[in-house]
Amino acid sequence: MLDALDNTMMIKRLIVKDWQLVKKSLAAYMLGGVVIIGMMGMATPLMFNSGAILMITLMIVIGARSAIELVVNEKKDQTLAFMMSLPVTAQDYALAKLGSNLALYLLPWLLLVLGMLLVIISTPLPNGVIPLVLLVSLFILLSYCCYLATALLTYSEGYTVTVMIITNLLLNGFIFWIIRMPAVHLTLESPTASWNSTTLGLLATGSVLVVVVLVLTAYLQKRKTSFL
Amino acid sequence: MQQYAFDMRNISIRYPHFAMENLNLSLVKGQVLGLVGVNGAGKSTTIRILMGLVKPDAGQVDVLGYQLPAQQVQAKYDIGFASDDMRLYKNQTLQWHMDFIHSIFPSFDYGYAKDLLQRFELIAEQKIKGLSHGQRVKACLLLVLARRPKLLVLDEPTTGLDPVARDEVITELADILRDYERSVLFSSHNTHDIEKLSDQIAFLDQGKLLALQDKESFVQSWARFRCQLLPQAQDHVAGAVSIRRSGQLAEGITDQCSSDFAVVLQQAGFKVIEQHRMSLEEIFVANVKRNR
Repeated sequence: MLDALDNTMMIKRLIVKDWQLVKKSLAAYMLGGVVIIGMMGMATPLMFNSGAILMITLMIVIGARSAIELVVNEKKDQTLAFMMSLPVTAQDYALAKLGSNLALYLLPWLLLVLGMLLVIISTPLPNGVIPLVLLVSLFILLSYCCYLATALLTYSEGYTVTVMIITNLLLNGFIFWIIRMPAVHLTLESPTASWNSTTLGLLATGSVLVVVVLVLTAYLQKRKTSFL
Repeated sequence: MQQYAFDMRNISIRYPHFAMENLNLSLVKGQVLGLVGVNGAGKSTTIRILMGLVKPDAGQVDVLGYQLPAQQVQAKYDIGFASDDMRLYKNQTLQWHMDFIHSIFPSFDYGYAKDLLQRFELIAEQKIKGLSHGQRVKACLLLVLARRPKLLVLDEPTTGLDPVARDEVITELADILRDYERSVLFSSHNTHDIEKLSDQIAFLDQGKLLALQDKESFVQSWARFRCQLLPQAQDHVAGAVSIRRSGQLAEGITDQCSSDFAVVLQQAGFKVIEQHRMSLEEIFVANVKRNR
């Protein structure tokens, strides 16, 4: 019987459990996302820019809340001991956390990005802004992966919040940096999205970094010998 | 051949400010073992090793026939664990937790859980954040007990409870443990709780196992003697754990209590005035002092 109790089943149960814990707040955030996309869809410079700032804030808040609530608070609220009394190893648990956090962040992130792209394509807004939107969104996803990794490896609120602050500061620098790039700046107002080596290179680098951070997290977690 | 619920052999682990060297501890199936130790004695470390949560630097751990930590997943299906630092999800109800546990352990007995709800005076629909600490401890125990695990590991479950809640939990536990045949490891720094529940008692201090005996043996072998000092009183008495002098009087403690020991005291220059049985707490303190 025990052979049949493959631990993939337990990992899935832990992911479902996390979904049950955050589904209400996630629904509220998604509602906020719909309102913000609506704002951006009004296609005036003021509403689009305000919406973009709100959207960046929303993506950061969803990520921060996910990492803090599902990982850090599990230790802080002492529910981690309850979880570890279940038939899972520390590695199973970390894998489940990685899975649930990614699923519960990637899904809203993807919906919000697609929503923004839909608004840009279907309104008079210049499509040239698409590479910028994707690059900023990818940077936010990479930032999320960094503080999720910190949370999973340290379970420390202090370290996780520090990484959040650093990545948020870097985001401002990143936006200024890419907007000053001629390859991005000169095509912002164009009616079609311009995919040049700079934007594609940055997207590829960002995607690779996301994968590296996640793989490294799983590897380091596997090497741990003590848990709790 | 005796069947063990768990068997820890030559366990060693070293932290910056704590070391456990060659710990040997086992529990015969169907017995209740009380693990007594002050804070930092190594009780929680022992239990974490037993649960596969911490990998020892050396030694072997066998729990219900499974090697830990390698086979901890299989072992945990048969181990029920509750500790004082274990909390449930505060925004969820006890019923949600029961359903969650049932989804993992098909052996979860809803009928028994319902019975425990009544005995612990808990409401299944109540959110965890609305429960008192005592009720939260009872909720954790309910979730563990209703699974009917073969081995129950309770790490200081009564810590932080007020005297009434503690008595309720211990009384219910004693009652429950009588009802069903299962092996239990119960750790506490409260010797009264241990005394009420345990068949066997182990004393742990600074990562070392000081003693492991059944409860009756402890109580029968340890005694305190109040004596009057005679002029020829010697400094040392064979079989005495400690001799404390105060003026013309002395108090001797032994872990080899018999009628012979009174004679030994007399021959060593100590006239026995009275003899007392020692409480488990006194025996524990004497054990710790002897080994420090």
